[in-house]
Amino acid sequence: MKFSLIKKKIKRYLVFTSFAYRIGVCIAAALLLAAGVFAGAFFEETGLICAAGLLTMAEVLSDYWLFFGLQAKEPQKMDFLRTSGFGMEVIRDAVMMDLLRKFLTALGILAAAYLLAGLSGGFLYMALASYAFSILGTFLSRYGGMFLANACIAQFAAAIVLVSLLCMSRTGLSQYRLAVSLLFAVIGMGASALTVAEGMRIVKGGYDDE
Amino acid sequence: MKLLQNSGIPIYQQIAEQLKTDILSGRLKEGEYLPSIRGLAKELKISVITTMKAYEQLEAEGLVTAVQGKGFYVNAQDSEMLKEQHLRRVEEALMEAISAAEIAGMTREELEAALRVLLEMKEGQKD
Amino acid sequence: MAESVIQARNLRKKYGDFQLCIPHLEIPKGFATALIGENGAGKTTLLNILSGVRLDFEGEVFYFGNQSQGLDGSVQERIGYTGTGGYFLPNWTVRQVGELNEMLFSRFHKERFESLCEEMGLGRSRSKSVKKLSDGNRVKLMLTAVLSRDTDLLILDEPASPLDPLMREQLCDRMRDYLDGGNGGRSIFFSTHNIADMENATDYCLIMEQGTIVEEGFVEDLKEKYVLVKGEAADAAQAGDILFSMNRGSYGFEGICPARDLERFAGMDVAVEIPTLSQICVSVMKKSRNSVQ
Repeated sequence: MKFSLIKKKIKRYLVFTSFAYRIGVCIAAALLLAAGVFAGAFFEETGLICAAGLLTMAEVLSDYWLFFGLQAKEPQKMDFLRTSGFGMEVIRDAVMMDLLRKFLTALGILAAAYLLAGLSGGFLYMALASYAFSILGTFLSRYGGMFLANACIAQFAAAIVLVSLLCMSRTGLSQYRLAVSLLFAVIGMGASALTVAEGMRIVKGGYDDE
Repeated sequence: MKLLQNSGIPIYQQIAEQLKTDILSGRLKEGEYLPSIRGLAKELKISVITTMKAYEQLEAEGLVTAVQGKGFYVNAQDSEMLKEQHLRRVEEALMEAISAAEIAGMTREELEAALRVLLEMKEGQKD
Repeated sequence: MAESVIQARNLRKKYGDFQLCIPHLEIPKGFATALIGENGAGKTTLLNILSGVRLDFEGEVFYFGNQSQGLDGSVQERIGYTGTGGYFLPNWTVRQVGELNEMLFSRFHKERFESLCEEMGLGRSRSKSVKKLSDGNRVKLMLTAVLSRDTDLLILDEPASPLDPLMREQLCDRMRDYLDGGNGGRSIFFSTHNIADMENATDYCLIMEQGTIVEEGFVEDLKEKYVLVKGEAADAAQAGDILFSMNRGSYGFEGICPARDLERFAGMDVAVEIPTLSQICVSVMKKSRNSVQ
């Protein structure tokens, strides 16, 4: 019963992803993993931090082919979803499953790179940082505009991840991993909640006048 | 069926006329159903309301009967009524000829003579 | 009127200067009903309300002849609506639109969607995203999607405008085909500016002006209600008082008026014709705009 519910939600997410998007995400994940392993093996913690930055950028960029423009006010009001009784339910599930997918990707890639490169010192806080800032970036880029805007946001999000993680590593702040992880987790959860709430607010906004 | 868009005669009347001819000449037989209104509209590429109006006119003239949910079937044409229908057509055509003759300034005698000549010509063709 | 597929009472919707106000609305069942009016007359707002994609209005709407049936999921399942602007997310591909329909509507037929895509000329665009489709193809995609479902009512917002003449003819064919397939149980409600192209697929007509309905009726009845009058230039001034709207030149005039006003032309040398639907609509719209100003 529980399993079929999850399956339904996954199906609802997948229907929003085009074939090209799925292939692209798989290839990007493989490349990032490879990059993470090599960078981790050569540059240790610093290498893994770079991989986390790249991952953040990739996640924000890829959203251009998924929900880019979802929160745009004007032209995209998605009348089609409102012609069905469950349109809203489907898109909410899809947006939430997308967040879950992004979290699992960050966790999975960094964990695998960490283990394969034989590092020590932990990776969870990096995954949380990458997730938190990729979601914040995604949130901003979903207001739409040009691809360039999306690319700028992606680089900016990556820079924040890089800078904050590198600072931590240099200043020895990473000793307090638990506290730092908690901080990133809070940011990540806040960004996720904001993304779902704002996306649904705009999509549902078409029912009424803004 | 030939429908003329710009003849000045409403399309529904053209349809009614042609179906009427089919009924009076016996091509559409008693008890037979006319095509469904939406089916005919589709065939003729015209709106449903136009075919509906044509059928309603035929119904008003007593040529067909509507059955709820089934369509329109052709009524028995009793010979008296049939004759009357034909007679009315002849009268209409003659009235048209008379008004044309008036415009042309033909006298009554000339008109009668023209009719006679035409009748003879027609009989001559038959032989 | 016979049975109705939609009944609405006291519809009201206000934004800015615009006000939609329709005390009574009935769409006949089994026919194609055209909604005609100027830009900004409120056509899209009305269609949005009736199709359920807009909920902020006052008034009551009932569906499928049931006086207690408001809009819910089961009613939406029976309605196919095509819109104008942001109907799909621009990223969706043609294939995804099919998959989404399958997910959202239980009476969607995938095979029919596939074959309609081919027939409508979208066969080679399956992987194209909506934002890369031309306006005409986007309309075709919306039509393909709604026609792939078993519905009892189509609500189409300006389906003809972005289509080329050949596709418009095909649209009319498909509309008649849809009505024929339902054996009298299916209805269409569509808005259009292309009255002449759509006349042969229009049974009932609603003319809207400034948020309200100013004239309605079956096309054949409207053509009896109104006449097209043509006359000599000398009579133009006098005729202008009787006619709803008039085109006059140095050789003569023509215009539309209700058939019952024909007697007022006594003494003038005029010819009378059956007007086209387009002529009727234009002059009713002009007349009601003048009376408001």
